[in-house]
Amino acid sequence: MKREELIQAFVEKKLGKEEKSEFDRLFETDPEFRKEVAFHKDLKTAFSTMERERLKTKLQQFESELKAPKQKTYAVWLAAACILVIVGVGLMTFFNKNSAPSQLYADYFEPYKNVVAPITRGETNETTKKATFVAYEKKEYEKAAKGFRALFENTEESYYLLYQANALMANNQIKEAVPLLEKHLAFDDKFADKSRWYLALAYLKTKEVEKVEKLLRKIVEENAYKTKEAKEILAQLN
Amino acid sequence: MVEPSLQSFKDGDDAALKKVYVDYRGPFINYARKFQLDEDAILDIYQDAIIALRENFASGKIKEMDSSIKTYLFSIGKYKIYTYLRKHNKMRVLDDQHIPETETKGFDFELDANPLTEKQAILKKALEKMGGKCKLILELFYYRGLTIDEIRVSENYENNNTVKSQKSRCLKTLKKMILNPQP
Repeated sequence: MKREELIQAFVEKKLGKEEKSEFDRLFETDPEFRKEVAFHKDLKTAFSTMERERLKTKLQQFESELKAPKQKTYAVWLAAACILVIVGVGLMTFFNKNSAPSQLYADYFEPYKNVVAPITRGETNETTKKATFVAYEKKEYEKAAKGFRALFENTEESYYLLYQANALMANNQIKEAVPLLEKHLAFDDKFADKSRWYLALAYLKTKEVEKVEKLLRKIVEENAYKTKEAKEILAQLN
Repeated sequence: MVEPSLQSFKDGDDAALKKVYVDYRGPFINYARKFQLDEDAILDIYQDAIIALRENFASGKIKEMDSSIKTYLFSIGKYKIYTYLRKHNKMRVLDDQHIPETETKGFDFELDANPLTEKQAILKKALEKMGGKCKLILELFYYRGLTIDEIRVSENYENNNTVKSQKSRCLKTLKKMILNPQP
């Protein structure tokens, strides 16, 4: 093995037994080699210092965002609230003419399929996890919702929020599902696009049409999960 | 309080980082006020604690999460507060309190204890001046610990040899820059 490869393997922590003794031998006998190894270690330190500085700047930036003048934000929120009320009242009058939203909800809602349990490996939560997904697939939604809640609390895996919300929605507990979906969206994990869709449906059911439209437009914009359906609903709402 | 997933925090996901920062900022300030620290010092300590936490996860010192992020964070924070107090000779008031045994064994609290050696500082300067692509490949390999295979996939290189030769070239450039440092 060449020296550079040896150091490379050392950095990757992949030295085999023989390579390890070769590495040790060189390290003890060859000052050039020692220098080379030291260089690689320094390189690692330099990078981690840079990373630390980058993080520090970022955190300080979060801090100054938090401390940004509140008055301005307040005014913006006030304006936003006014617009919301005006638009809301308008939309409500509009939609009182037809009961479309909840009908649309019934047409489109279908609990999100289990894509998680089949791909898991052994772990302590395995049994609860399996049992919960089984309940979910057997449409025992109340049991499933409880299970997902416990799983989320124990593991902090964000996708459980999505499933808990789905179980609740399937059980007609729409209002309870909304905050979970919003929370899940904030995690921005790989299931976020699913949550956006289900949140849109939930708002459809609670007839918060403006929110529905906003979410659906975002789905269409990003060509994300359920784009086709989102377009259909948008068309029917207008 | 809901915590971001450990994975997103480890990956350096900005949103997760911000969420952790914002969520525990208030509780941490309250906690640290007990030690009669002013807010600037507290925030500084808090930020360093978060950075230390991230590094502990990123370096794999903590693999399994057996406590919550909050427990880890406060544990590191507590340690840093005590270190700060001792350094500023404020420990007298607190003589009856000992540095706490932390709930989080195996943690490396003193990540920023040693200032860079001269060599390391030159190296860092050179890296900062380096082109994006070169810097990235070195960072992925030497800092993030990605293998040649993984770099080929994530950066769309044709084959492993291209990755290796690019890496050697960048390393050579870097060494040259160190030998002839420019102001």
